[in-house]
Amino acid sequence: VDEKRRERWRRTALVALAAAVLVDRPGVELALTWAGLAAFAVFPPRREKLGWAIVVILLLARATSLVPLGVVAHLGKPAGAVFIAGLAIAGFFATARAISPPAARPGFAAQALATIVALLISVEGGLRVAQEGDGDAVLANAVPLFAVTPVNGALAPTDEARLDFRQHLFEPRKPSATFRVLLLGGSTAWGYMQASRDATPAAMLERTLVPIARGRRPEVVCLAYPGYTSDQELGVWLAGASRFEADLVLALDAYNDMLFSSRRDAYPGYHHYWKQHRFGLGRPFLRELSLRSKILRPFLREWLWTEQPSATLSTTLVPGAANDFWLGGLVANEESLALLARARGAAFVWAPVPLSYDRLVPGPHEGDPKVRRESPFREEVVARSRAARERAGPAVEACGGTVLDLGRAFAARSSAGEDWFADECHLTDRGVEVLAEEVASGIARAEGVR
Amino acid sequence: VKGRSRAILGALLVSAAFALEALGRRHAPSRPDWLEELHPLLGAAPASSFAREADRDPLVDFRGRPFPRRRTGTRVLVVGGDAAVRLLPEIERALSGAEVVSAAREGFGVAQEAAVLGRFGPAIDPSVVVAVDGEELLSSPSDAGATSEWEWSRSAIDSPIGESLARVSGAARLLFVKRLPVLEAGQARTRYVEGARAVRVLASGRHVRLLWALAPSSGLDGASRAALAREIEKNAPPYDACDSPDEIVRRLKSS
Repeated sequence: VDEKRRERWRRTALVALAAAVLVDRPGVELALTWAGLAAFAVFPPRREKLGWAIVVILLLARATSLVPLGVVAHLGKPAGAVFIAGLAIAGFFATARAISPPAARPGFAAQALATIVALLISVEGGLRVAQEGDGDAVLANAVPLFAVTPVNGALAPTDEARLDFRQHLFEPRKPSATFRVLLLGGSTAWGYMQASRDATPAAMLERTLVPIARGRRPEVVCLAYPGYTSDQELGVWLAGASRFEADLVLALDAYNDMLFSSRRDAYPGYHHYWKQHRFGLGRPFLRELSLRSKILRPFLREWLWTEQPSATLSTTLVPGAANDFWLGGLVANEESLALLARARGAAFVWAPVPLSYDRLVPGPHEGDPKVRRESPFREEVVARSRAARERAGPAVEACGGTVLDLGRAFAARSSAGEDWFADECHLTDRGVEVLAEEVASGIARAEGVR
Repeated sequence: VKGRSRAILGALLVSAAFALEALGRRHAPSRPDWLEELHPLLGAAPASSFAREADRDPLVDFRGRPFPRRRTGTRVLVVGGDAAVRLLPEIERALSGAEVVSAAREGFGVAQEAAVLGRFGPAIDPSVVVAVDGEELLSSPSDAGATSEWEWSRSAIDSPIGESLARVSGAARLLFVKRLPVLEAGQARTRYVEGARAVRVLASGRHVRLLWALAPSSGLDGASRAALAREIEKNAPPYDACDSPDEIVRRLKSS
């Protein structure tokens, strides 16, 4: 084969690899990558520095996406492992050949580089098999009005049954003889410490609300999700939850408003996944790399993916219990939800999330700094919690809603023998039981809710 | 002959490239600031506006104009999509003494109007809300509240590198910037009526006068518009329905 033809093949291979970077379909991507690798194996480029660099960079880039999950999932894990091993061996020989002079044995540098490529492929493939399903949260979640959704189509304007945010199937049109509750809020309402729905506030409320439902079957549709603030609750309602014919809208919230999402760089509607949009999508090449490479993802996560949701006074919290960013927004949203729910014929109940500090007598493990934080954070949390209850409570009542002071209820029931809190705001299974009982008894006492 | 053929072929290719470029630019207009303006609650909003910097005093409206949190006289809040944006200068001419705050933006519908009133209403503190909407009756994205910025967002998610190319190339937009799926007409109407009622409930609940007109670009004839208005009114608190955006201006002038 003359040099001209070799050159043509090398160019074709480069084009194939470049196209593979652009193409998003795993099958086509894989075929292009194989074609490019095969062309390099048969017709290695000349020993020129630029050619070397291009080839090595492209091979390394492709090595991170050589094992599309679909292929491994299709073949099964043992066959997938064989497939990965085959790719690693092929990657080794292709690299060694590609960077060695024609008709010469690969030198030390070529072998070392080829070994690195093979290792990368193996580790990458292994991680992909091991971490199957860890996809791109943006792809599944980003939506307008409420930032992120765990279930696509949960609020679709159709009459088909769909899953709520806790994977419970429900009909948008309320079945007859049903007492339907829409549960709004963040992680506490969603049941952050509860692996199964059976132990979540939604399921517990379905049991404790039986006496209130007066012969109807209580059904709790969970539209709460970790990280949601009252902004997302309003967004969920406006995006379609208003159609679900609720008898009662229960907003169990305020913690994320006042702390978790009150970051210095936050703004209304903010959710910690939102960082992907603001930063990740603005750096497409790095993001592409992070999506394709399980090896690189942990290193890139800091810049591109969800931020670790932590709240410290010095870095993330907007200071001040009277700060209008979170408190004004919380009051406005709760008022709006009360007005909108009432206009749809549903009762509205606002119950700020109880905090570990509400317990007068902590449980056996509730003295832990994770559960009861130290000064001055603790004082700030308590002050904000008080401000939220004092300002949003009357505003909700003025709009026809009902306020449940679960903090006071938790304080009144405190007993030393049980852990109700797993951290500052998340409840243990027993804590969820107590919460569901207190919500039911509060609703039973309130007028106009049923 | 060979040279001439090559020249003709070259000219054809260049023309095709230009045509594709023009077609692509029409298909998806440039959105250089889409990432900056994408908003989790309103779909999209100017970067320095009240929707992003809610803690400022003065707040800044969608045209970049500052306004103090506490109003001293009449404050008119204009919400809605393209038609509302077009109406802004007329409202300002008609109300020389009043403060006109814009929360209207191309592509906005009733979902955004309700979100503005619901979340930002107390902070903006308007005395009158002017809503001109209904453009979403023609084409309503299946994700409520989605704007054209979301088309770019989706394309960046589907193909990050393709979106980078689309920023500079109209032809690439044809390939990489896909239109968002839209609702059927009946679903769009149901969602619109639902959202319009929410706007009325929120305005009424906050004791703010609401002047509303259906945008002429909603694509409905007179009878259909009247039927739609009746449907909205059925379960909504009272508000001032106007036949057209011009009538809104006339009523504002007269009051």
